[in-house]
Amino acid sequence: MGLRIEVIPGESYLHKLDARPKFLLFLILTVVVIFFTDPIYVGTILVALLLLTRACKISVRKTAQIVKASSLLLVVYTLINLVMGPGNVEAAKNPSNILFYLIPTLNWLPVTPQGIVYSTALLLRFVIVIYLLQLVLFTTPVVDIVLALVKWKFPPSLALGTSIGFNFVPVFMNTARSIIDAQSCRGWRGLSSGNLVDKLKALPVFLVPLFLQGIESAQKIAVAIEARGFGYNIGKRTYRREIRLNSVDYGTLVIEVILLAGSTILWYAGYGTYMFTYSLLARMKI
Amino acid sequence: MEKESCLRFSTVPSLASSVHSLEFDNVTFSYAGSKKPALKNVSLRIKKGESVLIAGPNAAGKTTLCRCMNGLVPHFFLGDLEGNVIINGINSKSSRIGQLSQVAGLVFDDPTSQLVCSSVEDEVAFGAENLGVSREEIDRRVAESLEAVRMRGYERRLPQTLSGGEQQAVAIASIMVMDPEIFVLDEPTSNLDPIGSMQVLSIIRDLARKEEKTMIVVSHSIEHFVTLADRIVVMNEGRIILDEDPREVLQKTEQLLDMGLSPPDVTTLFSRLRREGIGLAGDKIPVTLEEAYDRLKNMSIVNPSVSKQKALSREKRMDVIVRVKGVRFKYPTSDVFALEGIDLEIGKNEFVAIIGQNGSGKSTLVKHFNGLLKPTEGSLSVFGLDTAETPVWELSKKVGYVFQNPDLQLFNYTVRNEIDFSLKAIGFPADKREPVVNAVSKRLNIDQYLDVSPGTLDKGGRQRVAIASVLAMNPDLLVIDEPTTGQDPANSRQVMNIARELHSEGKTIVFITHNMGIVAEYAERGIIMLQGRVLFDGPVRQLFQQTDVLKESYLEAPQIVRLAQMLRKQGFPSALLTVEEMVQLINENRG
Repeated sequence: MGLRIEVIPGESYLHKLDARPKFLLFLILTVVVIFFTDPIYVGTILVALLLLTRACKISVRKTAQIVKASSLLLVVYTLINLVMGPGNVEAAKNPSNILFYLIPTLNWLPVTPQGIVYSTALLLRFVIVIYLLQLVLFTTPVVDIVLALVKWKFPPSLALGTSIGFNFVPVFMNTARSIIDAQSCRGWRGLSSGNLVDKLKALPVFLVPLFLQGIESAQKIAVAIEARGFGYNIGKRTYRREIRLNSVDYGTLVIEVILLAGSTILWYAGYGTYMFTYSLLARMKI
Repeated sequence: MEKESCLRFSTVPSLASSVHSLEFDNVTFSYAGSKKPALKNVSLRIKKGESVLIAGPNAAGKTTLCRCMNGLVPHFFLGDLEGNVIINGINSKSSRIGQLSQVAGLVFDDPTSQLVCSSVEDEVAFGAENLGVSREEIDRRVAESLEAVRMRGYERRLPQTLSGGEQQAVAIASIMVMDPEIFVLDEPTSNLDPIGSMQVLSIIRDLARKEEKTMIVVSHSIEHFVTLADRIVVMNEGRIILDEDPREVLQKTEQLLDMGLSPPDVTTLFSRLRREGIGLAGDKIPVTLEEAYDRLKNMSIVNPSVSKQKALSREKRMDVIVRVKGVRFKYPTSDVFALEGIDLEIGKNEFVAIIGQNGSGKSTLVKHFNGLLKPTEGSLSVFGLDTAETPVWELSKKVGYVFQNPDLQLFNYTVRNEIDFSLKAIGFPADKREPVVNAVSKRLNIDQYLDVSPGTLDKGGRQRVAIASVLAMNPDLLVIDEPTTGQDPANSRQVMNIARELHSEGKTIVFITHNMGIVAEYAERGIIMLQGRVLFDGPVRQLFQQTDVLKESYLEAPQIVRLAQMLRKQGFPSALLTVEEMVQLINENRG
């Protein structure tokens, strides 16, 4: 099922952290990893994240499931960077740098050590972003996301609509599964068999009922929330939960600022490129 | 919740002087785009504090009536509204749903699609938040509402992971939090299992006791509301047919039966006896089990022959077609086994009911019969085929599976294509398909709709189309998953009558249901499941005598069976199953 929208209950630092600094942490780390193309720099951040996960008593394996689910995408992304990465293209001009070819018989797509180092960094960078997103979702109830959005002046109806949508995902998944079951019982062989044309032909069997059920559910939900006064006076709506920044949240914000500033300086000074690891390796004569 | 006047909101005029909570004044309503009115000249007055049951077959207008009560009609469901609906003194035409929802709270039949938040407490708070209630007041109301539906301790739970009964309890609490004068519950128990229904019924009972609250319940289970409701309103085809004291309405049991409703067994019994001219019927039909017992307790049965009919059909052991051996099953996402070691055999031409609460493993078990699920441990063979190695589409030629919701399956432009689809899918020769489609559609009485879109048919019609598309493959074993849940009695009966006909032609039928009356009337063999195990497996006649087993699994025998059991001393056989049998028995033993 890939990404599960659920919250793992807990009382840890990440759980208690206000949704706003948590989002900022996500955004800042995303920016920071973009600054760096060196596997040691990026890898350090990943290790720090894994330690944080452990410290918050959240299963690393469970959080990493999203990485596993995206593995195909990651492989393709890495292969592209391996060959097309600027370091690799530059280094491949000198034949002595070439380790091997991805397509050996034709001597196509040369791979250099610089390319390997660079693409490893980018792979780790990608992993960090999706891992962190999952970590945030695991520790932040949808209501808190809504509240954060409302505080950031998103229209409440939009924020609430988003949260209802999130909560409805598992129900919709169940419907999809039931439709597949129900159609299989009529001799349908599903989307996994036959060639592309067969697959395309088989799509409406699944999509039409799913679409109709989706519309029906959407209407039922609309009726149910109307009946609970949803459209009454949305500007004056109150929220049971109050989100207020406490000292831990402010502390986190300070760390985030330092992190962002420090990384910017390092980046500006030219640190953190893939050449760092490459020259280390070269010096060790590997 | 009744004590604080601060629960009132300035926008709602206080109309304590008004005697009526609800007034329908000659209301006719047609949904936009529909020529046929859903309500026709409906006039209805409901007093403050009254509890009213609304009964009626499909398309009677019950749900439309409910939607009028908080302004969903005409403000959300647009259409042509004639006449006036006055809700606590406010005319629905000149108000908004948001305002009216504070006066009349609606609870719907489908628990999953009315719960929208990620925790029970957020769910319950949602309505109060929308009304702009202060934070402290919300907390107080949430706690109070959860207390009232006995759901304290569930605050942090995810609503979607609760049982159906618990979800419906949360849905009721999330209406209570808005403190409406009027509670409108549209089929609150029709999608629930027996435990869930009991849970919700007891909440409704508490609500009805509160004198200042008006309660309107739409339900098919008249039996449960006889002593609870002050009035029963019977609707049919958009009109109010009867509007009287429950006792008076039930004197017209035959009329209710003709409309396809399910009056209590005891009233059906006495109305039958009255028709047969049997003296002991008296002038008034008793409406409760106790009253019926009082009427019959002086009778004595000397010739209890009935139970020999519909004999214990399992004794004529036939070819085994389903063989389940030591099957355990675990869903990939779960840590517990949904089936904990099942061993059973089903023979050719059996008629088997599988009963038990939700989560007991019924659906999980039958989904093994056509390979939708493969056993984690143990083995399962169907018509000699190992289901672990045979694809579902292959098994579907032998095992037909009818789903509860036909809309999961229908996707074609015409009914003809819909039926033809399964034949095509299993590779039935093209030239032989048309005669099959014609024959099946004729049998299910949909041959006149072959060229129309299935979407234009009513639910009963769509269900027949879905069944036709399964029957076209001519399966020898038919599995029917909950033909009674969320259905009106006429629709459930329609499906079961088709099953009975197929059974008489030699087919094997396995069905799942929560309706014990249907089990008693149709099945020969009954299997009770509890927590992934088979608790009882035997003839239905014996099943309802297992009072301990029934109690353990929170099931209740049909009212007529309970009556016969109360009358054991008078010589009534406790294996008696149907009203029909009781009538016959009394007939043979009178005088």
